Amino acid sequence: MFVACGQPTTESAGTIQRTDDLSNKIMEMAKEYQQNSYELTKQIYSDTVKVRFNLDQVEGLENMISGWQQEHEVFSNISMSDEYVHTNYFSNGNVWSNFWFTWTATGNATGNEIEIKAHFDYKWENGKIVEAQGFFADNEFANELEAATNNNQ
Amino acid sequence: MKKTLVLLFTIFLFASCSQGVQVTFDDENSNAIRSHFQNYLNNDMDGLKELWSPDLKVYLNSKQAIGVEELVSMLEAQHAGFDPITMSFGEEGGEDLGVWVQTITYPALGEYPSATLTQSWFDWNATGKVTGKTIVLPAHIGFKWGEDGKIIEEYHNYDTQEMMAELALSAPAE
Repeated sequence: MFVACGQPTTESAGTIQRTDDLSNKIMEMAKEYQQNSYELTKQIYSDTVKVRFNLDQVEGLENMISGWQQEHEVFSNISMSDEYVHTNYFSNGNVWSNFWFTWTATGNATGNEIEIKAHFDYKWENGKIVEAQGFFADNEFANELEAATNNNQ
Repeated sequence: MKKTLVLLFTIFLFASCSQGVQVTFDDENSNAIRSHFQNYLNNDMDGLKELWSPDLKVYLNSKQAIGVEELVSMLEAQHAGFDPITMSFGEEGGEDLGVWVQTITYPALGEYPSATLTQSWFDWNATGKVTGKTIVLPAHIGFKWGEDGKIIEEYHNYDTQEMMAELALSAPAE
């Protein structure tokens, strides 16, 4: 049976699961983010989480949520689609979720609709997310933040 | 009784196997992608083309795809504008793997056929020839394999602002 299941061998690094508890939590927290409400997020992310959005590093749960709340001030109709998530259970005990999605929103300052294809990874330790990294094209998002800042000056 | 045992064994086998799909590091596809990245670093476009399907579709932060020729132009421009270009992956103070590469073969699910994808993560480090500035660009690229062992789709996620700014400086004035 172990052979039939492809259990860990020298070439095996682990397994992925798509409908496990951790993957489901990623999807639930994505819904929370779209609703700008963070009950589960506050339970799941470590207080000291380190998040990198491309090269920009945000440290701590409060700062992370504060940034997301600011996004909801700068943009309207934030929505995520084409979502796919799975969680890697590596043989060495490390657990990482990989999440792909399309982020769309309308900039309040310009009225422009922005669409961003994004990929995020989440490192889990003892049921908490301790590290996250996002990869996406940032130029349109940054332009909209700048336009919002200029409007407020 | 024997039929019941066979049925139970089959159910147990299915339940055990459905717990997860294998992730591999040292498989043929993962190693092919490592060599592919080396060809990129060596500016070996012919080597890269050996692994690409002629019908390759590349999704650069977009739902609209580009093809092989457009991708080659972009990669050649990177080598024209930057030197050196390196790739790194690893925690601070830890071993530099160059690139994290892993492969997953997804079983068929409903209307979707089985598919093999190799995923990669790395920092793209490059020094601009005009400014001398070194750029670090965290990147994720996924590769989907065709039945003939060639790459048929690529999915790129990274921010290109700094790279494009440097390339704009090195582009010939119109």
